[in-house]
Amino acid sequence: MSKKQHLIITVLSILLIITAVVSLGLGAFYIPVGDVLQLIGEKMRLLSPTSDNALPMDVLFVVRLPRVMLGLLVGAALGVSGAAIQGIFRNPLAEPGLIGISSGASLFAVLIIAFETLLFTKLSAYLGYYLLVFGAFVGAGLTAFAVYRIAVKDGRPNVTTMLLAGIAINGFAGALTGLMTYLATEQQLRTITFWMLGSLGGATWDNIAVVAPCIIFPVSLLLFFGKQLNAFSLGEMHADLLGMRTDKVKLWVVILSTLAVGSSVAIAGVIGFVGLLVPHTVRLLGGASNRYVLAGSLILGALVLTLADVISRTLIAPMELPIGVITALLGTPVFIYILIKEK
Amino acid sequence: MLRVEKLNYEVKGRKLLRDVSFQIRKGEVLALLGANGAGKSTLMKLLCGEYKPTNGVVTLHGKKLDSYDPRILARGRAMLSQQQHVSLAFTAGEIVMMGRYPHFKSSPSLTDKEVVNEVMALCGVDTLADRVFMSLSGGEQQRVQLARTLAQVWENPDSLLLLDEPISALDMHYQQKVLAIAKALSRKGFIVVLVVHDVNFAATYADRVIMLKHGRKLFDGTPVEVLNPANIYTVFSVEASVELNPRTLRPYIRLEEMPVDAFKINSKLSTDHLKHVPLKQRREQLLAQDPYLSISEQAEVLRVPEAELWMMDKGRHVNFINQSLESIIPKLSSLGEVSVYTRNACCTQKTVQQYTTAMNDGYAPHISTQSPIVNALRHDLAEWHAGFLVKEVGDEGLHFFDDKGMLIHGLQLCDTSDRDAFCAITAWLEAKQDEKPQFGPSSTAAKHHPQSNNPASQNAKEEIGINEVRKIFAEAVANSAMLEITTMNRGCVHSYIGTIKNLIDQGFRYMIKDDRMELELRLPLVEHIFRSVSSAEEDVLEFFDQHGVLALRISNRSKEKQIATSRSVRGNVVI
Repeated sequence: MSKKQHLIITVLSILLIITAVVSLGLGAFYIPVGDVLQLIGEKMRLLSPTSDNALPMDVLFVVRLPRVMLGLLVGAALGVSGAAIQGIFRNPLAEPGLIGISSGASLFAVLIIAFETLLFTKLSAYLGYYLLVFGAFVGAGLTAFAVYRIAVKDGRPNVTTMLLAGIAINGFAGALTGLMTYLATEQQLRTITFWMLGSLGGATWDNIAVVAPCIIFPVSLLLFFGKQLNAFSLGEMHADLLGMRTDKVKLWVVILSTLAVGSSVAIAGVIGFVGLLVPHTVRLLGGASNRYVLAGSLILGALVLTLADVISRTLIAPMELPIGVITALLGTPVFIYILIKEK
Repeated sequence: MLRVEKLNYEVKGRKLLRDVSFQIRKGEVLALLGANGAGKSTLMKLLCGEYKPTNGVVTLHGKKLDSYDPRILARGRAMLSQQQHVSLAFTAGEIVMMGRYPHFKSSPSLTDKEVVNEVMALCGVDTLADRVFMSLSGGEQQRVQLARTLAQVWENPDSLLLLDEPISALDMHYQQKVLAIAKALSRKGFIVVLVVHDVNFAATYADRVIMLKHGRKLFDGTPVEVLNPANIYTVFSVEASVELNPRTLRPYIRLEEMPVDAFKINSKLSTDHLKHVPLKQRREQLLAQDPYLSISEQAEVLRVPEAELWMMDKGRHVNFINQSLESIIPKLSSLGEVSVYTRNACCTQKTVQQYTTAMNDGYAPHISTQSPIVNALRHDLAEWHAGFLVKEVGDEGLHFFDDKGMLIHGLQLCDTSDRDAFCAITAWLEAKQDEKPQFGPSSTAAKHHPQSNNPASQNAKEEIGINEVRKIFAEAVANSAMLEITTMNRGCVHSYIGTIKNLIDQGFRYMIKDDRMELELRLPLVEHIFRSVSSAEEDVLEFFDQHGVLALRISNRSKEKQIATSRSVRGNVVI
């Protein structure tokens, strides 16, 4: 990484920490930044406890902290997978959604919501909320696997076919999801809609405990693919000639991205544009070298999602906007600006 | 050493490469030549291990290519391919550093950085290091990619360096420089294989040339051995002349301009304005483009009777033969031995002969003779329209044309000719004062000669290619076979019976050049060749032109006929 890239990463990291701390205090119940730091200090037994802080303490540690943590995890997962998928597809317009991961996850989630009372009552009694998470994850894995299988020719996946197959599977899953909304009841429809637009509202420490390893593990592995992804940008043949085992790289990047994105979709719904925009912006800031882009996307993804979540829960407080709406509303103009500027 | 054995490559049943074998030593530069789609890039991809051969093996330094560890192989084999697109906004310096990826794990060592700097300076891209690759010009991109390729194997003297069209986008300076770098590296031990389109670059920089056509290796050898006009025509269908550079002893190939007739191309655009330009001017323009066109080719392009161009050339030293055509022919026998030729669209046959009048029917049309002679000329005077006599010293002769102005027959004086008799004929003709002959517009359309559809014999006929003809000729020379070679056009049938000795293959032009007999065959104008073998072991080749007209017939003489002809003493032409 060049000096400029180091600087960008450092600045982004500092911004992320500040944003995360500030966002802990924002929402329907406002806690000033000073109090936030004070409370954290108390919790860590660095500062002596002051009186009358039971409510803010509860809000901070039961509601806000898991939510901000989830935002960081999901943002990092979307950012890094976006960067990796763009690298592997050699296409700056690719994103995890494009190879069917998101739509597969949402299809399965919607299926579970729609048929919960009919089919899954027994299962749901055992698994509860995890049924949805588990279903979404299975959906992501199945579609990603299907797309991958379709694209394999003579034992090696063809990137263009993979993109096209992703588009086809997306269309198919989208149609089925649309069909489900007709079968759903009014109440289910609300759940479906809210879930399909994404929300970090379901964050609890229990959820985080399940999802955190499923995100942290693949994301940290993906960070090591910088060199391979760089070689991919020369074309697969040249990556091969440089001694990379391209087939394995492709397989691993798809598996790890599916794991990260599938887990985040399962818990936070479909949050669009982050996987597409974050790596793109990182590249515009400091260049295309993938070691930098992966690290930068991790931090910027977490930053963007934390910010979007703050907006979603403060804009019409005490109600919440779906976070997918915020990212799309903010992301689209930024993206169009980038397109026009690059032209 | 790079060894390629019986390499075959097939995609969806299409054979892209068939039975290619060769081997190259360390320190050699091999150039692959061939037309588009000949299989050069496919071969390169097989050599680098990107494609797996359907059959056959590639071994590098005694080890099969696919048994190498990819990372180890990457340090000893690099390839520059034609596809150079880079998807994301990498800088040129980053791209070149990618060439060092097989050499380091996570961050480049000092050596890696030194190598990158060295190759970038060598390829003249050191100043572009911080520019985004995709914003560079095509030639700069190609040099950056070359630098990356070189960086990959820079310090390994056993490297295999594959360059697929490395100079396609470069300017003159870098075209030379890149090939010179490749050659210099080969002198340090690299095996270099490159694909180039310019045969002269191959001749200058390669130690070895392999020419591919339709996935097959056709020619293989040093530039001097391989780069000759015949091979270049065979592989590229381009007419070229080759000289040997006396200083470097390497061949220099000069390409002839390829004529494309404005009248025949683009049916949507009118060519009327071209016709109003005076013939002389149009001809000068044509000759300025292509000074090597023969008169018949010029006539075809200019769409005028050939005879007009002949007369234009010969200037004041020409006498017309028009009304006195029939009466001049009996006088020709007085000339003694002359060089007689007969011509049609595909070929010219030339023999050294004396004209004789036929014993029985004089010079009536369709005189045929079966007397045992080595040469015979039968003619149909009704098709002879006019001619002229050239009295320019050194070029004396008579030339006869049909009513369209096509040259059909003629003679030129040779050393043994009777020049006094020629002067007598000239004087006789000048006294006659013939008028300038008029010719109809030259037409290339066939009148109606459905000969190719109407087999002369009942024997099984098969269409054969020119390569088989080459083989048959070569066998005839080797066996001293007795051949009957007959060239025919509307006005005459000119036969030669005897053996042939000297074959000259110029690719587009195939010639038999013996002392008393010459046959020049213009291969591009031969449309069909049929071979038929009869029960009497008579083997007949028939050549048809583009209008389906029989132009040349070659047969081996059966044994009885050979005995008959062996009695003849000297050749003469019966009129």
